[in-house]
This record gives sequence, C-alpha cells and structure tokens, in this order.
Amino acid sequence: MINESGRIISNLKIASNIWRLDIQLPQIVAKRPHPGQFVELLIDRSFAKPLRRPMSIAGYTADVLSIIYKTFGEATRILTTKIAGDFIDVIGPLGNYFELIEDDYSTPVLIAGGVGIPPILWLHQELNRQKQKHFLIIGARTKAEHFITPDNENTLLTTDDGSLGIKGTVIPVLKKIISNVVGTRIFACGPEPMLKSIQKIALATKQPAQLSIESHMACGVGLCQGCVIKRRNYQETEHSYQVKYVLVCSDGPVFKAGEIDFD
Amino acid sequence: MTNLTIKIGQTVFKNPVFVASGTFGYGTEINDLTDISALGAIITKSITLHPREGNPPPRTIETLGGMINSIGLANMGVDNYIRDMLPLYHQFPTKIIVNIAGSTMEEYLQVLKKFESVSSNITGYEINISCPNVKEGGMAFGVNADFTARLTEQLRSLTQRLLIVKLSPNVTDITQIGKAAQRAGADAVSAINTLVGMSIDSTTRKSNIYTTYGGLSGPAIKPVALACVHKLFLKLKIPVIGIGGITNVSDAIEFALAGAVAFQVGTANFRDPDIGRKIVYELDDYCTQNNLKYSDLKGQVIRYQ
Repeated sequence: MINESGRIISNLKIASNIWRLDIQLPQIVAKRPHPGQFVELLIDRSFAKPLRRPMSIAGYTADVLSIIYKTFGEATRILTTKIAGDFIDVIGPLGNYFELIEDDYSTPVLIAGGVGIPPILWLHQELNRQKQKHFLIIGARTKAEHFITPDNENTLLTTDDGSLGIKGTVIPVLKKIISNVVGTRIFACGPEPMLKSIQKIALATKQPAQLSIESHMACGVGLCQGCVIKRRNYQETEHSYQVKYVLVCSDGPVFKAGEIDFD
Repeated sequence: MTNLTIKIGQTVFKNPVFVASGTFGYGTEINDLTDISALGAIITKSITLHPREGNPPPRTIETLGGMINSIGLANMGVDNYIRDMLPLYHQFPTKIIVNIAGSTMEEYLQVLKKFESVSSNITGYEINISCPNVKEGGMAFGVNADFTARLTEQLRSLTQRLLIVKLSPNVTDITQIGKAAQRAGADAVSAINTLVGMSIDSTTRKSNIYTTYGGLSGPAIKPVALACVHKLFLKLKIPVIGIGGITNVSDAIEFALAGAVAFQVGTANFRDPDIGRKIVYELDDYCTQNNLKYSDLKGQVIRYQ
C-alpha cells in the first residue's frame, strides 16, 4: 500500500447524487489495482471529520485513478467541492479483489446497486476486454440514479419505480438468469440487504458467488480492528481470535458467499 | 535529535513521541506507510491471558472531531503473542511497550509473568486498567484506587522493567488513582484512556455502537486530557505520559507545558499512520529553533493564578 498526494484531474456529477472523481496517482496506479480493491481518501483537512473514507476504485488509465461516489453525508458533500488542480491525500490500493478464474463452464453474472456499482462496472469492462460473455445487472431506486447505457442485450438495468429498464429489484432478474443459464458465477457489490438476498440465492442454487462488503472503517489498513463481519461457519471455542470475526478491510472486502454471515 | 531525549524511570527514549495502544497494531503491520524507527516507542494493542474475538459490530463510529470505538480488546492472547510476535522484535528499530489487560487481577499477573519468563527485548509494560468496553475488569479496576494500588504492587514485585499504569478519565478525581499507582511503585502513569461516549443515528433511531457505549477519542477529548495531565503533574512525583487528541507539534508542546514528559499519538494514526514520524521531525525543528530541549517545557504553562 502507498500513501500518495494526488492532483485532481476532474470531479463531475454524472447522475443524481453520483459523482466521478479522477485523480492523478502514479504510484498507486503502478501497483496495478484490481476490481474490488479500494482506497482511503482524506477528505476533510480539518479534524472535524478526522477519519478517511473508503471508496471503491472504479478503474484507471495511465496514471489516473477513477472513483465513482455517491453523495451521502457531510464528508462526500465536502468531496464534491474539490476541483481540478486540488490535491487529495490517498492510501491504496487496499483489500483483496474479485477473482476471475479462467473457466469455460460457467457464465459470470455481475450485480451491483448503489455505491457498489463502480467496482462491478470495472469488472464488466475487464470481461468485455477479455471477450468473455457475461451478464451485468444494475439496480437503482429510480432512472435519475442510473449513469450507464447498456452496451448489449446482456446488460440489464432495474429501477424500483419502473422509470427505467425492468421494474423491481435485481433479485428476480438474477433468479431468472440462474434458471435459464447452465452454470453461473456471481460477482456482487452493493447494499447489505441486496447482498444478503444474493447470498441466499447463491447458496440455495449452489452457484459460486463473490460478494464485496461495505463497512464502517476507522483506518482501512487493519490497525483498528473496527470493520469486522461474522464468519458463516466457525467452530466456536471459549477463547478464540479471528475465528468468529474477519476484518472487512484486510481479509476482504470480497468474500465468498459461504464465508460470511450478515445476521 | 538530542533535544528530544527523555527519561522515564531508568529508561532513556530517543524522543517523547509514542504511539498509543490499539492504534498501531503490534507495530509490525504498516512499515509500508511510515518509518517506525523514528518513533520513541510503540505501545502494543492490549494483550490478555486468553485470545479474544472482541465485540460484535458495529465497533466504530466517527463523531465530531473524534470517534467512538468499542473493539472489546480483540487480541491473539499472550501465548500466541509470545510465540509469534516477540521474535519479530529482535533488533527492532524502536522500543516496544506491551499493553496488558485482564478481567481479574490474577489474569494481569499471569500475563506479566509469562512475559517475564521468556527472553525478549521489550522495554516495559503499560497496564490497561481503563478500558471502557469490556464487562469485567478494565475500567471497573481503574476507577478504584485501592484495586489500582494492589494490582500495581503485585505487578511491581514481578518485574524490573518499566511499569506504566494507564488511567481512565471516567473518575471523580484522576489524581487519587494516579497517587495509588505511584504509591505502589509504578514508574509512570499515562493519561488519558477514552471517555465513555454514545452515538445515535436519528434516522434509524439505532445506536451506532453495538455495545451502546464506547470510548471517545481524538481531538474532541484533548482539553479533557490536558486538564488530567496537568492535575496529575501537580500531584505526582512520577512522570506523566500524555494521551488524547494529539495530531501535530503544537499539541505535543501543549502536553509538555501541561506537565507531560512524553506523549502518545492515538486516533490520528488511523488518519495518517505516518503522523508520529512527522511530529518527531517538527518537534526537533521547534526545539532547535527555540534552543531548548523538549523536557525544558515540562509543566511550564503560564497560568493566571
């Protein structure tokens, strides 16, 4: 991991509450990050908000790293005020990533919602580059939150209110694909209720799934032990350490569906 | 950097900049992001007799100028620590002070005995009698002067190494606990541990911390920490190590003026793991420019009365 001060190339609103931030970060990009990895941005130079914010990497070109973020609270509001030429302090790349195992027998199904879209979109671009047939399902509450245009018939957009694409959540679409396609492997990132539903389907239908988890993080580098999630099957003993809980920041953020327990 | 040399008990430290327990892991995790050889000492994450999973999530939440944590002393336990971590400290570039926690007096004693029974180059111990996030022990001990004295006395009889007692601010009079530690033979006290705090999400109406209450740290608690350090400085003969919201060289100077011989950087490590090293260099510049030693500032705050 590298700590680097990067020059902002651009910071633009691309959809309702969704912004794209491009930062020149030659040292971090030289580490060749993978889809699923994240960076920690130092947003507030004052100590009113002392902690960094973890943000998924949305991709990179040459020496510029891209982040797509959703405005959510005060810290992301401050982030929208940064302009080209400003510098921002970044630590990364952090965490593990989606593993793309060469496999001719199953079809990747990529699913994203909300702040989970950037890494999944990047994975989609990688698979396109490798000319691998796959499905991409992106969910949002309404049309205004969508910022991509489907590039083929296997890219499916859903909205809760039916204002764009398929009405409803990503879940019925996933179920339909699983029942129509022989052998799938799932890659998902998004809000916890969505991941929980995907986990349930993946385990019930025995489809391998990799889920990228969000968590509150104080440090992002394994120091504070704050961002834990419970393991799914663990042998409870009277005295144990890291048997019941794993760290989202350094053991994850990507976990196999069978590894973790959202309850 | 001779301006920065300080002494606690019989131990000489190259500078007064330490990193606080629980904010720097075991000192071996983040060499990518800083040069630990610059630090005066690393205080390890709390070690207990048995391994501990820690509390269920959510364990941390940011608050204005700080954060609340309730990790619950998650750690590998003393046996694993001695086997896996102590060898890594062989020829380590800075001093290691092991932080010890326990649920009973016997547990503290057993952990320290285990450390004393093996050969290692750890410098000493910081005794955590002030963790607000565990049910038994922890802070319940640190609010009781009698218990503090009895525990410190027992630990003192077991080691010649540096013995520091870490004090809780969640008491009526921190100097009473500090005096008890001094009377029982502690080489120094460190102050303060976190303040009991709470954070609520007004939208979901949920507590932001699983255990409801957690420990508040960061710049938000600095004024409380300064007052505690100053009160301890006035009442105690043994050195006081300041902790609480230190993020830069002016904070470091303020803690010295309040009476601290050294200080620990805590929450700021989460924001910038290199912050300790930066403070060392800035403090050295400050001392050189003002032609003084850091220790010259001790307790020199100018008061109105």
